[in-house]
Amino acid sequence: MKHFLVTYDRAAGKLLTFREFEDFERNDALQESFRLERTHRDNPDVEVVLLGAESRRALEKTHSRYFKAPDELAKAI
Amino acid sequence: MATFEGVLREHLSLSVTSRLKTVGTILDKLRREKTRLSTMQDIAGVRYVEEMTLSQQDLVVAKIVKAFPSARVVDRRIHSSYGYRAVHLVVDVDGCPVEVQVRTHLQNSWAQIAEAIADRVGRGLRYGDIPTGSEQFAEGLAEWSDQIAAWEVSANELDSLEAALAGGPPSSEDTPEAAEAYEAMRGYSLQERDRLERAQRDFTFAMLALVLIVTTAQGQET
Repeated sequence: MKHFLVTYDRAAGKLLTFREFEDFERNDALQESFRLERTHRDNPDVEVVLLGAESRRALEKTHSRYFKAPDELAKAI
Repeated sequence: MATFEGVLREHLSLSVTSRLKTVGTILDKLRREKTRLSTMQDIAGVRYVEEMTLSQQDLVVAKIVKAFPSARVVDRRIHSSYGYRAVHLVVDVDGCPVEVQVRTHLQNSWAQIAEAIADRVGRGLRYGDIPTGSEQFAEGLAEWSDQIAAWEVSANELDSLEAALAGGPPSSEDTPEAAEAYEAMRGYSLQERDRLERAQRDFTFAMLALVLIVTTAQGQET
């Protein structure tokens, strides 16, 4: 399993950063997520999220909103 | 948590993804729902999404309950939350409640689009706190959630019918009435499949129109 640290601009609908960590780097991923949360704490539009998955592809299926524009989400129904 | 995910992935063959709530989203939820941290069920969450029928979704839920008998099932297909439909399970993992979301592809598509729209017009849209001027989006999402729900019920019934028909026509030893009934059912299933395909195109188009209205309106504001 891998860890994926995502920062996403809700208002712009834009993926800002996407970083992948190996399973053994979980603590690093957590520390980095806390750091990013502090960085963006004054901007409610920026979402910081730590996800776990086997691959980016698996995330694109379950959390497609981070990776696709709204019209692409609708077309993929 | 890692062991829990491992059981879902390796023993139950469910390709799940997980999410850890951030401090910000926990605080938002505590404020919004006036709840306590100790009762919050989705600090850690797991999601499973698959192209499946409602019956297949039930089987996935049953599989999880069998592996974790203390799991509490919340069927949001029956009691939808502002249009949101899925089956949730709350499983106690080492003393912490973990929420497992089981969604069909369509339920997830609706949820992702609703969230993307809420990101633009106001997050309250997801909880019934509709931002001023966004009533049409809330109504559109609710309407299409109902359409998708009806579609999924019909698709589930059709899937059962097609499975029954897959056994082939009655044998020559059966009555002519049986053969006639088989042909009638086969004709109905073909018509119903065609209707469902058209209905799916309709709600794809309607959801696309809805997001285009939102993004166009947003573009005009900026």
